[in-house]
Amino acid sequence: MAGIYVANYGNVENDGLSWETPKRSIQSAFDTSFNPVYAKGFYREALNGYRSLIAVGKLVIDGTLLNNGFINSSNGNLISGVTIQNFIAIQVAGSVRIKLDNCIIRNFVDFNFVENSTTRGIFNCLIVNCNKVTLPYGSIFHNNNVIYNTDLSLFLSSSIPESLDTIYNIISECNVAIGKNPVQIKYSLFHNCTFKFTGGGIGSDETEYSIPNGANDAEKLANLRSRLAAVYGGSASQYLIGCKYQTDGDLFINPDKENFYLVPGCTASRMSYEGGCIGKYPEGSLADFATDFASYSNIDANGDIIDQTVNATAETNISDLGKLRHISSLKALGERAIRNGNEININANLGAEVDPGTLLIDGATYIVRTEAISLTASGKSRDVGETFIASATDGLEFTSDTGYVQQYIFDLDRTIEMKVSKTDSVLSTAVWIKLKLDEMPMVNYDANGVVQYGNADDNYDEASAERMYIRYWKAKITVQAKNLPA
Amino acid sequence: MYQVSENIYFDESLSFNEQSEEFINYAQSVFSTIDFTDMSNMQSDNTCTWTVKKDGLRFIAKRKFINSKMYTVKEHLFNVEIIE
Repeated sequence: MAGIYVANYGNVENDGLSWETPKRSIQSAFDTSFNPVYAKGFYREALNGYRSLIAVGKLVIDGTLLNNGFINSSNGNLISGVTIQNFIAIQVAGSVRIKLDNCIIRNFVDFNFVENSTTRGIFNCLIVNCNKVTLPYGSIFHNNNVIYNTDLSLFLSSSIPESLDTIYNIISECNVAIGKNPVQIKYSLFHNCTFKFTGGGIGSDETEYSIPNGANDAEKLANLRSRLAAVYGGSASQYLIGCKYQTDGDLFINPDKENFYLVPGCTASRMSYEGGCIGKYPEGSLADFATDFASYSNIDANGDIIDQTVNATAETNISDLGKLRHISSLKALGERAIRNGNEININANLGAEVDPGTLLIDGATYIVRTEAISLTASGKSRDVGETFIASATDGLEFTSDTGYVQQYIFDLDRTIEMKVSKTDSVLSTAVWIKLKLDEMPMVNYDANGVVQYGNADDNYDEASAERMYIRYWKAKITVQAKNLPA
Repeated sequence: MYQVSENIYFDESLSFNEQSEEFINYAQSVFSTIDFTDMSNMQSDNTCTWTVKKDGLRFIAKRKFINSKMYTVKEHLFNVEIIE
């Protein structure tokens, strides 16, 4: 069927069959039997009807003062190349059965693209400065779009059984709410967005953190997986730059998918139950010390311990989720060290200096410091850095001219160190506190709102403890090394 | 609840926009048969109304024009009533 033409220099009486005799309004063209509608210019009108609208040059449809939706009834409309702005909504009622291609959508109050067809959606569009944009995904494609400066809600439409991909979008400076999985937002760039992951379905939200249920780590993790949003980012989500992840529940990203990466600068507003499952590196992979840590000591650029007799430390300026990421890296560090003939136990702590003349504890593990020693019973000498298990057979007394030993204390809670404060944004008065990683972060504040002790600190007072809401933190990791026994 | 066909029902207690997806689709197909270019019923308040009767229902389309001479529509209003 032949098309019909609309231009600002047209009039109602024109037949609209050429650019020489165009219609004056788009609706007047929609009301004819001609399709598609070619238009150029600036129009302020609300539309109704089943027609495709194709911009020829610049075409702006403006809803200022109309207090209305852009189109009232649609079915298979292709809207191409049009700037649509200042409307209340895209459509007043029913499904939005249009395909937006190469359009600019801006200044909408509520752009809710309720759609239920695989052939429609939003492609190659720029969506900017909208109060609210809701893009259900599922059998709908929303591809190759740029969405900027809006509240964006992405969720799986419950009415759509299929699940296809929403890919290749750039979402920048947006507050993004992502609904229950399966989320399939792939190959998209999230830049400087604030994220809110919700679990339990559209509209539901885990506003209260609770300890994951389960008898062991595997069960707790399964419990978390069942109640939290999981994000499968797609391989290009390694381009998540400067994002903020805000979740009232834990943020969980499944590294098994190996498709969701976080980069320095990403932040999260909450700790995770299982740090090893969050971060750039899947658990067990290798850390990049040169770029991952702002400073480190006794560790070479490959992550290997240099001096086995002293603690190795690594510190990063990456906040929040980066912290968790480096817990994963720490494990990687341990694996690397093991391959080099060493062992690292991130949960181990060294006890106080034990000097000659003090009895060792039968069955306890010790590391030799500063000088070789010998046990009296067996007379066996040990080198600096060597570990051994004290036993009554060997004798619990030891000799050394100047050396001493320290006990290895295993099986400590998995902890994290951080500086936090209620009131001091630059943390100038804050002290390092220790928190247990897999428990609710409870701390003791002083009168000025400065955290004094975490729930893994020796002076922690459970009775006066308050819950701490973590938004930003700075990682500081200490690892300890020892030689493997011969 | 007024039954139009096997799967299409009209709930007279709801506004047009609150009707079911199936009914809205059906109603829009009816409204699409209207010749909106016939504005002989144009009122002084810049509104024009068209009515179609089908399947025992009265389909009323109303447009508020910004400028009827320029054929620019401010608002498209739709309503459906049961014919008594």
